[in-house]
Amino acid sequence: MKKAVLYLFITLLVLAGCQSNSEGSSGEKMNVEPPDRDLAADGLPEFNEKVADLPKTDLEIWLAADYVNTAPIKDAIEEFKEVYPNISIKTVGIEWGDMPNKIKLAVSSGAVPDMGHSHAFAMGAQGLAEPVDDLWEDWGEEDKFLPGGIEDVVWKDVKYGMPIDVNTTIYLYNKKVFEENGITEPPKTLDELVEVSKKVTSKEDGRYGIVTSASGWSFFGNVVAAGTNNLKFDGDNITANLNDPTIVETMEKFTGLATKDKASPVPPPQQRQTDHPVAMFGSGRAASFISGPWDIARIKNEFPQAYEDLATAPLPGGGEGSVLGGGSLFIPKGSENKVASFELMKWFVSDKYAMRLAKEEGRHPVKAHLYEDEFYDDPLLKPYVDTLQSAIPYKLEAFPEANDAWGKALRAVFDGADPKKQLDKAQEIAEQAIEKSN
Amino acid sequence: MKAESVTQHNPSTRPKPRKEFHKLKDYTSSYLFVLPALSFLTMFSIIPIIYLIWLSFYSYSLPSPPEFTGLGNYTQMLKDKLFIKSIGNTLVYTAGSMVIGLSGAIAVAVLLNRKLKGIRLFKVFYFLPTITSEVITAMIFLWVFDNNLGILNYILKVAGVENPPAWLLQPGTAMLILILIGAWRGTAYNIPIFLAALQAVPQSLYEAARIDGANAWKQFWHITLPSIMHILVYCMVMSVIGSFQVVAVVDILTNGGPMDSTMVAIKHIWQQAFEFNYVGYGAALSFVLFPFLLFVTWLQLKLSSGKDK
Repeated sequence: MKKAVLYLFITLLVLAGCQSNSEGSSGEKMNVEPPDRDLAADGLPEFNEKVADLPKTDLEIWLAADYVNTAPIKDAIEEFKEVYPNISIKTVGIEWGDMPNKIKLAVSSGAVPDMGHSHAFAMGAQGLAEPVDDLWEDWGEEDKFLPGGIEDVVWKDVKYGMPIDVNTTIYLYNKKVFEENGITEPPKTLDELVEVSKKVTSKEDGRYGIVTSASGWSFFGNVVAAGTNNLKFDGDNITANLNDPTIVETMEKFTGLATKDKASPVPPPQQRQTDHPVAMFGSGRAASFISGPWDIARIKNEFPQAYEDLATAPLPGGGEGSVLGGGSLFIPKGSENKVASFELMKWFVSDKYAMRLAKEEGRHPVKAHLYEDEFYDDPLLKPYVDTLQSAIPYKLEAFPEANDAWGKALRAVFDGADPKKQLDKAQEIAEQAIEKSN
Repeated sequence: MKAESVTQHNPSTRPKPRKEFHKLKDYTSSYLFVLPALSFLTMFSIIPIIYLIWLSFYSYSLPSPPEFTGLGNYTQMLKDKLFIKSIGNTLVYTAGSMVIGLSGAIAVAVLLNRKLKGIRLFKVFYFLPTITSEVITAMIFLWVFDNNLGILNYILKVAGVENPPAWLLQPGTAMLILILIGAWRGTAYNIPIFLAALQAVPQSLYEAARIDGANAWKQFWHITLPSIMHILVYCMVMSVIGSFQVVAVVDILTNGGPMDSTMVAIKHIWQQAFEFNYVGYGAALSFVLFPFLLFVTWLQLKLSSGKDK
């Protein structure tokens, strides 16, 4: 008897383990009526009949960990659910750097979420995102977006998502230190940057003129500012351009600030390069650095004294523009809830929530007209807004091995290697990586 | 020897064993009890290992299906200079952290084994690195050794050193710091193990040695060390395995640099498989590392057993 009970218990246990707990769309129809208010007047997307007509649908969305629990995102989801009670939303926070891997595994296993958050062009390039050109066309609001923002979701003329925010890099400097050294204007070219940085470096005061960074993404901003790109685009044909003579020269001068001119410390070896320059600048041990508008708020909060003397300018270089950052939302390959997911994206970038993301979280909007808001009258943000118009996404990220080679080359030059040799080596790796991806 | 006893031990006279089938039936409930553990082992260890071996013969980039390449991944490995370098770096790290870590652990354990005042507090203090996460450990050492913002260089500058070393930016010192961190953690992990082993050594041996006039060093060399040799071998093997798995500290402190001087095997494998999406190649690299690790462990056991004799 005891044995029989035991066998029964084990059988039940096994059966319980085998039971499917998958939850999807139930197919149950709901009568969703348009709300009594004007959504557009509230800065929200217009009521979408197609979404209202959907049966009960469960969306699972994966957002970057530093977005998922922010008030604007949570409020947008709540309000969306009020308007479309047929859609339920489950949010999952994932570390930004982990997102591509998690998406790869999800797509390969078939258990895909309905929304991901990364760079949609890179996801599209790797076959991990659904094309959404049809949904963009239905919506008809593409021209409201900054061209750079749209570029973040395009790979070989196909759109794979929607940009949620943008940023770019600028030059941040201590105007008091500059004035004390007789410098009245920020540098406009790389040569001027070198000269100015040398001039404001003071051994007696223990101060560097600039803090350089060994981030491949950030250095790409200098490359764009110098008027070139590390990839060449000819329609769908993409070729590597990592050892372009202008890039070699830019790398030589930029790294030379640390290795030759001693106007900058050699950047630390860590992958994350953003904390070190802020700490150096904020503590008065450096007079300038290159970063994005996110660090304006950080300096204001963490180093109020340094904030008093803070000034900003576009990135010094021969051309104009910088690297375009930010992120985009996409629908992972295999998701069956494209319409509902795309609609939710529209809510995240709506005027109401995009401005809340800007003001509360320092995440700047992708729609051009939002930059007319008085929030952007801040003179510290002006160079950022100006640069944004000609900023270029860092598309080398679509080829992870090439991206790594680019970052390694920069690091090696900071560690004393020859720029030309390193970039030639990186070019070779990039050519092979691009070849493999075709 | 008596005749009866010979008969008793003669296998031919033993009662015939029952059929294995009956035995299995007798133990059914026992097998059922171990079934969950066995299923777990099969699902999370045996099947993944078999899958890894299978995958190592394929070119596999998610989400595309795997393509058979035969020995392609293995021939590619021979040309992969970074993999060879990463193995070399791992060996240097392993040897350094193991020698310092184990010597340190034995030395501290011997001290803690004496009945000193406040010894409990010391035991807690020495065990702290083990319960601190690897990431936190790396962050602490970063604050110490950072070239510009680190406390060590700050002290050196205050002391008048004009150009203190850029610890993490030079190949030699960067590896040395990683070794020190590994040794620090290893020491903490091994102290309680050695302490337990030391407490099992009979005091009468030391008393006899003291009567014979043996000094502290001779007591350690001739009594303590041989008595804890089996534990030392165990700790050595565990240190080698642990050292071959080091990655978080490297990732945070040096990211494999400068000039790949701290690129370790696991970081290289991770990069190939998950950053560059060469999953099949990553599997082949992992598979090669396994017998390599097995060989190192075997060698260690062999050498230690030789010493024992």
